[in-house]
Amino acid sequence: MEAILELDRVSRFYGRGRGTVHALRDLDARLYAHSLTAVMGPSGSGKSTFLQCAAGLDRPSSGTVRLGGQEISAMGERQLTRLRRARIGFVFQSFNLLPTLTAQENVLLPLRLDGKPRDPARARRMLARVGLDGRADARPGELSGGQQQRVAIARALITEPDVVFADEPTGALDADTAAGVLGLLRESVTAYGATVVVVTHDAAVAARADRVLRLAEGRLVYDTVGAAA
Amino acid sequence: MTTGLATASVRARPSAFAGTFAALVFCATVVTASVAIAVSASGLPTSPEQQTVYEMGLVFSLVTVYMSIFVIGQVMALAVSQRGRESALLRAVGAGPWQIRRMVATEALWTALLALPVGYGLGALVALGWFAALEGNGMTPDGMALHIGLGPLFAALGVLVVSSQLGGIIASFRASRTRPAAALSTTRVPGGERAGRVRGVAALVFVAGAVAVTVATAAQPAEDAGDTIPIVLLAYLIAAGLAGPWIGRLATLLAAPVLRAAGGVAGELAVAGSRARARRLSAAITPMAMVTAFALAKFVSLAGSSEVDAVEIFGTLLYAGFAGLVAANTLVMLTLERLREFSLLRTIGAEKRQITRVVLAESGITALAGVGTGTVIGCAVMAPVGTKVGTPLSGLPVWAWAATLGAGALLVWAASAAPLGRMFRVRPIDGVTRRSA
Repeated sequence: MEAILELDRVSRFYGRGRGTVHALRDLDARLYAHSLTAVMGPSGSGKSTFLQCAAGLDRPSSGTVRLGGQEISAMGERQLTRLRRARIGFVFQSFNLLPTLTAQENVLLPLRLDGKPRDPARARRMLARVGLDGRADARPGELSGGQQQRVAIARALITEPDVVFADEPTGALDADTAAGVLGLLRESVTAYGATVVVVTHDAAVAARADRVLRLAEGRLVYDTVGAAA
Repeated sequence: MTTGLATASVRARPSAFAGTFAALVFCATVVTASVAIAVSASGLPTSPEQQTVYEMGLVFSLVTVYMSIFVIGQVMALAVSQRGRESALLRAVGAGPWQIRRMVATEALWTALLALPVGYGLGALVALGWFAALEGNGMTPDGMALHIGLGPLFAALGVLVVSSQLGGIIASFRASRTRPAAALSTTRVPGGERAGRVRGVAALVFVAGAVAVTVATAAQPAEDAGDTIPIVLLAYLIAAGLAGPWIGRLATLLAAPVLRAAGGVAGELAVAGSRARARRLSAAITPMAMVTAFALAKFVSLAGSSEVDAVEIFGTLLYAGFAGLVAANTLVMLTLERLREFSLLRTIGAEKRQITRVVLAESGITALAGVGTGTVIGCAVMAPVGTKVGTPLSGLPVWAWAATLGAGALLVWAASAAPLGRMFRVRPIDGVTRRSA
C-alpha cells in the first residue's frame, strides 16, 4: 500500500527546563491512501498535537513529517499555508464555517483563496454529494449542527486533497446526526477514494475505521485494523 | 459575587477593557483641560479679554462634555455587545438580567475610576499647553494664572461615571433581551442583529431635530451662531449613530461592485462581512463621522476667518485629536474581536496578506460610510450656518478637502490594520478556539 503520510521519530514539546511538556515522543506512523484512520486516546495523550503536526498546522520539535513524499516539517509558514489550502482538508468540532458566507461560498473558499475562478456549479455538486441539495444559499446560522458539519466536509473535499483531517467532527452532535456525518466520511473514502484521518473519542467512529491508532502520553500504544463497514 | 463576575469578565477580554479604558481616558483629558481654562478665567475681574477666554472655555467645556457622553455611550455599547457570548453563558447557567446589568455597571464604574486620574493628569498637561499658547499670543487677561484644582476633576468624574453607567445600562438592557441559546451559537455574526424599528424612527426624529436647530441657528445673530455649530454637529451625529446600520448597508451596496470586480476573494469576503455585520460597521461609522465633521466645520471656519489665532488652531487640534483617537480606538477594538474568524481563514489556507487585504477592503467601506457621513453632516451644518457667520463652505480650498478626506481614509486603514501583526502571531489553530487577542 502507498503511504501518503509518514511521520518519523516525531517529537513535540512545549516550554523548556523542568516544566517541559512532551506532547509527542518519538512517534512513528504511516498512513495509507484511500483509507479511514481513527486516532484515539485519552485527553492529553497527544491526539491534537498529532493532528496539528501531521496537517501542517504545527511544526514538530524534532523528526520529519512527509505528505505524499514531500517533507512538510521543514516548510516555512507561507509554504505550509499554501499546502493546507491545496492539499489538506479540515473539519473541526465546531466553528468550521464563516458565519457571514453562504454554504456555497464557504465550500468554494479554499479554491478562491488559491486564486481559482468562481465555480458555483462545482460547489453545488459537492453540496449535493454531502446531502445538502438546495441549501447552497443558506448561511451557517440557518443550518443545523449536522448540516454545518456536512458543509465543512464539502469544503474539505472540494480541493480533492491528499488527506482530510477531522478533529472530533461528531463531538458536538447527537447520536443520529453523528452517525450521518460519520457515514458521509466513510462514503467519501469508500466511494470517492479520499483519505481521512479522524481524531476522536467516539467509539462509533473507531468501529467504522479501516485502522485505529491509540495514543497515550505522546506515544503510539496500539495500532490495529478495525472492521471496515 | 457580582464584583467577581466583573473581574473575570475583564480578565477574559483584556482588549475590550483596554478599549473602554482608553476612551474614558481621552474623555477625562479633554473635559479636564477645557473646564480648567474656563474655571481659571471665571474668577477674574470682567474685561474684554476675560470675557473672550471665559466664553471660549465654557463653549469648549460644554462641547467636550456632550462629545464625551456620546463617545462613552458608544464605546460602552460596543464593549457590552462584544461580551454577548459571556453574558449569554451566564444567563444560560442562571444569572438574571439584573445580575448581568450589575456586572456591567460594576465594571464600568471601576474602569471610570481607574481612567479618571490618568485623564486628569493628561488633561492638566493639555491645559498647560493651551494656556501657554494663549499667553504667547497675548490673549490672557491681566492677572490670569492657570488654576487646575478640583473643579475639572469633579466635572470629569461626573461625566465619566454618569455616562458610562447610562451607556452600560442601555447596552446591557439590549444584551439581556437576547436569547442565551442564540447568543451562544458559533454561527452568530457579531453585530449581525437586525436594527429595530424604534432605532429607525429615533434616527429620523434626530435628523428632523438637527435640521430644526440648524435653521434656528442660521436665524440667530452671527456671533451666537458660531458658538452653536458644535451642538448642531452633535445632533446630526446622534442621528448618524442611530442610522448607522442603514448607512453601513448603503455604503456596502455602493462599494460592492468595485470590490467584487477588482478585489478578488478579499473583496468578496469584505462585502459579505460588511453586509452581515451592519451593526458593527455602525460602531465604526459614528466616530469617523465625528472626526470628519468636526474637522471640516473647523477648517471652514478657519479658512473663512480674516485672522486665525492660536486659540482656534489649538481648539481644532483638540477636537480633531480627541475624535481621531476615539475613532482609532474603536476601529482597533473592532478588528481585535475577529481573531477567531481570521484564524479559521488561516487554518484553511488564507495567507496573512490575503487577510490584510480583506481588512483593507472592509476599511474602504468603513471609510466611505464614516468619512462620507461626516462630510454630509459637515456640509449640512456649514452650508447654511457658515454663510451666515461669514465663513462659507466655498472658502475651503480643494486641497484642504482632499487632505481632510484623505487623512480620514488613512486613519481608518491604519487603525483597522494595526492589530493584525499581533493577531497573526497567534497560531491559527489556537485562534480558532480563543475569543480575543
